[in-house]
Amino acid sequence: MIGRRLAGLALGLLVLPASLAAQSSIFGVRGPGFPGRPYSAAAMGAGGSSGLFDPQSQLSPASLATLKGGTATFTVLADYRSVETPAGSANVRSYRFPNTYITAPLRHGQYAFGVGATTYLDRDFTLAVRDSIVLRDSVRAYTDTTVSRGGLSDLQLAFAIRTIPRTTVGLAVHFITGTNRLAARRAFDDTSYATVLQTAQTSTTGFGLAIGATRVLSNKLTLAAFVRKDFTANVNIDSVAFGGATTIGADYGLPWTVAAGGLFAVTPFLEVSAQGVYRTWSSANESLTNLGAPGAKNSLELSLGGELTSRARRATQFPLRVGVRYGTLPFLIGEGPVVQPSEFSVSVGTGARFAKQHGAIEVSLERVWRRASGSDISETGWLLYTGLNIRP
Amino acid sequence: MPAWLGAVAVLSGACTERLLTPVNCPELCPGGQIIVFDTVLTPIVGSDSSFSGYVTAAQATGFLVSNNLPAADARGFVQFIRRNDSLFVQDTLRSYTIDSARINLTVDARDTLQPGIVLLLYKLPPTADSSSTFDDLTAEFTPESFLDSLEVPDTLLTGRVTALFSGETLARIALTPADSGVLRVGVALTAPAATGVRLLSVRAGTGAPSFQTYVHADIADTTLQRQTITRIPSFNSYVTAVPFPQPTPTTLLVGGAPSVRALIRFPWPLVLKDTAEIIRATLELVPVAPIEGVPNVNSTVVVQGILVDLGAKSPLIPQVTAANTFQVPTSAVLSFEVRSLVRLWQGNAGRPPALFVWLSPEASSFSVPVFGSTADPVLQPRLRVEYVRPYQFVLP
Repeated sequence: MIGRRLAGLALGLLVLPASLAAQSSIFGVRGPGFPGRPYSAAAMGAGGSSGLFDPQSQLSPASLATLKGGTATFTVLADYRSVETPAGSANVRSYRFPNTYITAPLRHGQYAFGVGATTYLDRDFTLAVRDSIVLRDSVRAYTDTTVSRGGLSDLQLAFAIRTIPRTTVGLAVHFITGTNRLAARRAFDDTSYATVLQTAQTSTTGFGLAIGATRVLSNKLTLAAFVRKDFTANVNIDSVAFGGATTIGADYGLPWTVAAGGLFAVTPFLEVSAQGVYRTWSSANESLTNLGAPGAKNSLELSLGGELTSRARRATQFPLRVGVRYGTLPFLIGEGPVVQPSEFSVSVGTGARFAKQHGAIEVSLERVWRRASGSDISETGWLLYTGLNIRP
Repeated sequence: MPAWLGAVAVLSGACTERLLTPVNCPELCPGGQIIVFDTVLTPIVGSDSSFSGYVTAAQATGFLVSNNLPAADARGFVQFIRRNDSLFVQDTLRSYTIDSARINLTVDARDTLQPGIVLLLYKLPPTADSSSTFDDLTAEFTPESFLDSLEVPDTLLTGRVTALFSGETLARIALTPADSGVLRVGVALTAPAATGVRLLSVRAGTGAPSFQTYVHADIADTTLQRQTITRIPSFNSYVTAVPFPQPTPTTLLVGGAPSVRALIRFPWPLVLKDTAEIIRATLELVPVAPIEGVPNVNSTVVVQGILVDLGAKSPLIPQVTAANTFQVPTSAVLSFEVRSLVRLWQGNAGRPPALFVWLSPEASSFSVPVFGSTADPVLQPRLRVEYVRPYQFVLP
């Protein structure tokens, strides 16, 4: 009975409105988007620090090392943010599905595979600007609204080889694709002027390869490393208003990603993990600055977390996860002097299994602070991750 | 309700996005800003001109009557449909005797601040016809031919005025054998000061002049004896002491009778034709002299696009117009918001970049605006266009 309910819930999650796509950050509007995190709700409870070891996260294909059975994972992220800009403040909220992953072991566990989708860059925003210009010798006030919906999704095919003792090697192919629907509107207070409304749609494709490995050094320590190369993002714009699909030199480079981490079992009840992820987003800098953006820099994400369980035999039942994370954000902001934004977060999470271990719900809450030093732009937010794992 | 359905409902209900954020530019404006361009186009030199002969005074929806008005000293002329000397009652032609008669006219426009306006009606001889001149008509406006005076109440802005003939006055309107049953009426005007009125003509439909005769039919049934014979004009027009101005090679003229229209052709840059989003377009016409007319009577200059450029015979694009209603006297530049018109010039199937200008009501206005043309660079028409180019969406 419970299994049927879980299946129904999974179906319900799949049919949620498509408009619940992705929400960006104010720090993603001057770049191709705000980078997503390919982590499960459980990993996010530990600040993402266990991402290289979590079989429900899609950072590294080698994280399939500990996969025990076929699993379908769905993650819902509810995002509540307060944004401060020199023009004012706003409370915004959005929802997205940052991590959908289906995994299964093959050949008695010698291998494992995964098929999943994550948010690579999301570019959902609505920006309003109140200003004026002089036309016909008079000051004309107007309101500009720029709307963006869409972004890039990362479709992954992962394969893990678990035949080497204490070592798992993972390989992954990534297909990066997405569309971005854009609208720019200007409404003048003086109705003699018609409202400007222009729309367009960009479509972007890219490709990436990844390799990762985990090595169990002892019964207390496991290490992981990961390298991924994403190639050029090819951008086409199809102007709805003026016709024609064109490439206009908007392609930009995608980064190398290098990550390393460790998982240390302090006691049978406590695991501590740490992880660093470095992405060479500066590969997009030249293209972005040529297009008029402030540019991009390499980003670094450092996270540290732990998971405390009350009973070793049922470690997955109501564990307590905590984590901290610090990272720099790749896309610069500002005119003239440009600055690289950064973020800091603390998180807490737990989870439970039920239906004879066939289902699990993971919940994590993250408090995040983002800011760009030297500017008046900042945002704080609550990110609520809810994950559902189904194991047939 | 199953638990899973409830969970989905809760999740769905919670999922309302709210993304609007106030920002400042250029710091947080992806794609830069929408830039408004402002350009002033002047007509192609020598390709703007006026053409005459569209609507005659007899084809207009109104006819003019005035008294020494500087703009146009006009007299009206109405010829009613023939009234027979017998009428059908119960499928039988029967003779009748006239009890009374009345002539109805409808005031369409007047100087609302001018008191004491009186319309003077004269019975015209059969020699008066469509070829009659101002002098021909006024020569017939004699005490002998005088029918009646119609006082236009000072409070009447628009509406009917009626001359009633009965008893002793009935003889004034009696038709002679020479009239052949046709009543011809000349209309003049008197007022304490020079002024004019526009009366609705038969082309106006509702409110056309009418000649009603109340008769006693020769029939035994008393309930059928009282009959009314109503006649509308077969022709009505007006004449002016001085003909309306005619087009010249160096000016653009609209109005008059027969009416004159002006065609103005503009150069149309590729950026406006193909890619720009026009947010405002204003046509400015500069009068070369103050526009005269009847004070407090509005006239309207109308601007329309053309489907194809066939010169004077270019068909107009219906329903898409721009207009400027003005009061006289005025020397002000007349402006017309023509965005909806010039947008039709855009694209591969765009209409010719030309505008026809005409005066409404056509051929029945005291005003005849004369505007500068490309012959005079200072007074020539101007088309002021504000537009934006395609927004640079891919710019982050």
